[in-house]
Amino acid sequence: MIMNNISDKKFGEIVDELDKKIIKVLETDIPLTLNPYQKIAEDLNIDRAELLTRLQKLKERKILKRISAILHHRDSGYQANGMFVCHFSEQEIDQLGKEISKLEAVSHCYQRQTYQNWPYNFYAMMHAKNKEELEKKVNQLVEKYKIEDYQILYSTEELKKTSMKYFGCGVK
Amino acid sequence: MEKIDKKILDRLQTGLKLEASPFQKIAAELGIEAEELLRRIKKLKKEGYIRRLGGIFRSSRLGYKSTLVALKVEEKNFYQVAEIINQHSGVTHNYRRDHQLNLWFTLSTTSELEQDNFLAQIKALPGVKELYQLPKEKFFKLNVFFKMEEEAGDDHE
Repeated sequence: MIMNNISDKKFGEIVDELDKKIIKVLETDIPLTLNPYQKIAEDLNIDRAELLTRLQKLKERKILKRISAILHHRDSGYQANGMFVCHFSEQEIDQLGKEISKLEAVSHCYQRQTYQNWPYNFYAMMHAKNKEELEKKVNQLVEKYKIEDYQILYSTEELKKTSMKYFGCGVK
Repeated sequence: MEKIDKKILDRLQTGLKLEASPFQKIAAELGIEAEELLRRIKKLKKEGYIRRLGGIFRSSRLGYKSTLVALKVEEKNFYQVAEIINQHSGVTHNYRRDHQLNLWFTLSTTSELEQDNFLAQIKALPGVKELYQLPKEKFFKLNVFFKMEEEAGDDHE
């Protein structure tokens, strides 16, 4: 068993105990009722107004992105999910990254660290209804930007997909 | 899927308002009753279209360190290695990919030290031939919006 020790002290500087409790509740599902925040506030023994103020503050501090639905995208009609990787020079990567990330088929787009045996610094996660459609999009992309050395790594098996659970122990 | 369900999925991905009755507001936008909206959301969850309806947080703002990790694992040890990786609660995504780097996962830890320690242990597992730590150096896009309504146009960004 691999063990991890997580210091609780660190989070104390970022969020207080009540914020932590709120985050723990919201990292699961919100109640599907007409007044979901009322129900959450009651469970936490606080006023709804206080909960909403706290959430607003977490949002202002950019800790909370938003409260929304996360879809199972394979079940939602996107069957092909490929990670496109290539190498761009430092001079061109900002401009190309900006342009390529505008493509609708691209959901995530990052520059990452490279290694001698893995020289790709540009990553774009691409999604399409099927492999053919995805490859068509990649072809358009590599032709437009004259990319010669690239790879598409398809995900062929989902081994784990979950939401982050904060302030816990590293190992379940 | 009914058209209204696609509209609901699209709308729910853009975020709920931080106000007393967020579903009432969305229902009004979509021209249905709030009760019907809730009933449909429950159905979409049950059918597996919605994985979760809740808060999305920025782990980096909470002090977490994140990285993508790529491994080359021998087939005979593949699931054993995947299983050990998956036990870590900071591993949220783990995929097999059709490449010699055949296992890719994301890892969030409370410190760089914890990240290094965990990956050192993974690297030492039987069957692990290569391990690359691929932290992001620049961010261009993170969009988790999956458009359901085809005819709605492509101006959702």
